[in-house]
Amino acid sequence: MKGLYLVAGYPDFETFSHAVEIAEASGFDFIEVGIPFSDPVADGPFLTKAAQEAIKNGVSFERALEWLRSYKGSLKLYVMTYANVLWAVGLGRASRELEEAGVEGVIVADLPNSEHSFFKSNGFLLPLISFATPESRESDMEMLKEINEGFIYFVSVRGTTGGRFNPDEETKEKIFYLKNHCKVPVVLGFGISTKEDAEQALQLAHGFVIGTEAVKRLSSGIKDFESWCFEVGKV
Amino acid sequence: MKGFYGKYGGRFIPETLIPAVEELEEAFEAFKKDEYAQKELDELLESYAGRPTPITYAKRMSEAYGFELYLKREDLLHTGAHKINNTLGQAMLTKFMGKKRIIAETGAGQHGVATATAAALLGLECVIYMGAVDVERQAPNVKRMKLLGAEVRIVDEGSRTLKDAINAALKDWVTNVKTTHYLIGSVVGPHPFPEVVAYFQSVIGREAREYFEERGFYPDAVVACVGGGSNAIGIFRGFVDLDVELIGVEAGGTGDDPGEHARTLGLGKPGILHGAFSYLLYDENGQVLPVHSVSAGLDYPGVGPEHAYLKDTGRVEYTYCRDEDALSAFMELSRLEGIIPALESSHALGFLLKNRERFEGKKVLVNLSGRGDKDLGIVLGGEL
Repeated sequence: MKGLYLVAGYPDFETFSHAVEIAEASGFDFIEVGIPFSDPVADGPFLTKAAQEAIKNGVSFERALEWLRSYKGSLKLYVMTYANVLWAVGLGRASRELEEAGVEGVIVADLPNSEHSFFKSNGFLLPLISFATPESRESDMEMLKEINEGFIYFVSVRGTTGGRFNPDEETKEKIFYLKNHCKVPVVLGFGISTKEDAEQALQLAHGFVIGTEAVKRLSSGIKDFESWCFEVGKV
Repeated sequence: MKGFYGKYGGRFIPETLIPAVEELEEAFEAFKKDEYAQKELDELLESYAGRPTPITYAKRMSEAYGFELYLKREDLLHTGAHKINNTLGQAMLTKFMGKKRIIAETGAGQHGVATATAAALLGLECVIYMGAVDVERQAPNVKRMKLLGAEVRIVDEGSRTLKDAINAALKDWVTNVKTTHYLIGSVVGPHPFPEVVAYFQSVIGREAREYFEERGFYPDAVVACVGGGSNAIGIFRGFVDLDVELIGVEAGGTGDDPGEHARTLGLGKPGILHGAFSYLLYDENGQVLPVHSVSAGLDYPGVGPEHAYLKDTGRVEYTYCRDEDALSAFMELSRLEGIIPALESSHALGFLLKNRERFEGKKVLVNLSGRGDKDLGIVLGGEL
């Protein structure tokens, strides 16, 4: 499972759509469409800035939804955002609209596994992706073994997006354990940027997702993005 | 539900931080049961911070305005505000958890100074995040923090105020969670922070209640300013079960349009920011709105979840005071009583002075949460 994270409508919707086509052609399986939030506490400086620019350009839940509805490609669609963006739309409505647009699941950066129940009891029915982290304890991992929808998003570094991919031995053991015991795939995220990172991630887990590096490449031009995409997408 | 006040509260933070907040919760529960640790904190509060703080009857002000005004003098505490009640407590919890580094956000700089002070006292490494706008308007506190051995990191993102300082501190915490405790300064953030901070600040209300019980009467109303809301919760908790009016005063800024005020409870709606489901100022797309207050400590688009609950139940009345009324209260208390209040606390006073008819003949207790030395630049500097 190879995934790319891109900020919806960044740097603009035309370039963003083009980038999604390139991702598909270069061998990626899914895309995480980021709906920007003003105060993204899980994001490093680069994605924080990209989110602020996107908001300034009018990117919102509604605009992202419009794009998701119009998407005709074959990549699986996930949405990544922050809790208040969905809360402001109304959790029931957000869930329904995203499902109708073909979204498989939602990753909410500030919604830990233990608060999924808050979303569900307020009408959010789409699968919420569960997280594992280097800090996950045995009790957390036992619960993750029971997850039967979506995938496990393993946040492979302590820190914000855009860090460096270099999981320590203890973290590798946790990834390995979950890979062998979970009912759904384990996907590594945070810090993966090169072909070598991607190869290592695929050895450790079932898949990976690249965010900061993809958005960086795209911001420096579609050509740069394309050549990089074909390099990492082919692993 | 655990971790909620009614429907408000929760832990809306990245998964990586969940073990850390659970560790804090365990340490907090153990601390509450540990008589020796409690005694140690009480001792620090007394011999180091200067508790108990007195209540001053403001005679000249009362005569001039026709009510009976009592002031809970948190401004007399070491470091000049109520913030030290919480930082000493949480610094002890930090040691209890075996962590050696503390980080904190600060708006007015009072929490930053109180954190740096507790860190110096207990030998902890300390990093303070402060928005660039606040660094400018509360310059004396920046110098104090540095003098106390803390590193001050200036936050140049977003609105460059308290909200952004909290974002930066959360990002530091998620990176250094193994070694670091995030010493949150108000009754905000993920569970158990609102409860931890309220617990350490409730000493204000406890002392105030004792004062009145010794004299055989209670005040008719208790008034406190509300930014995140820690001084207000601290004093309200002493009176919440009594037939006493509780009034929280938010920063009314210059007007009611977005970006002109910080009236989170007055003009916001329920939303999710910085770990909690509470009232929040945000637009139709869920983006947090800019806020304004002349006081850096109240310049925040969120509020503690317990206040959201107290608003919905109707137990506390939440109102506001504009910048100009806070500034005149600042001058008035200085001239009539010889007490220079913090601009934050001046909002509680400003509301009272503006609504003097309503309180005619009544006994009113105001939480004077801090002193105003830090604000001389704003008040006298011709900024307004």
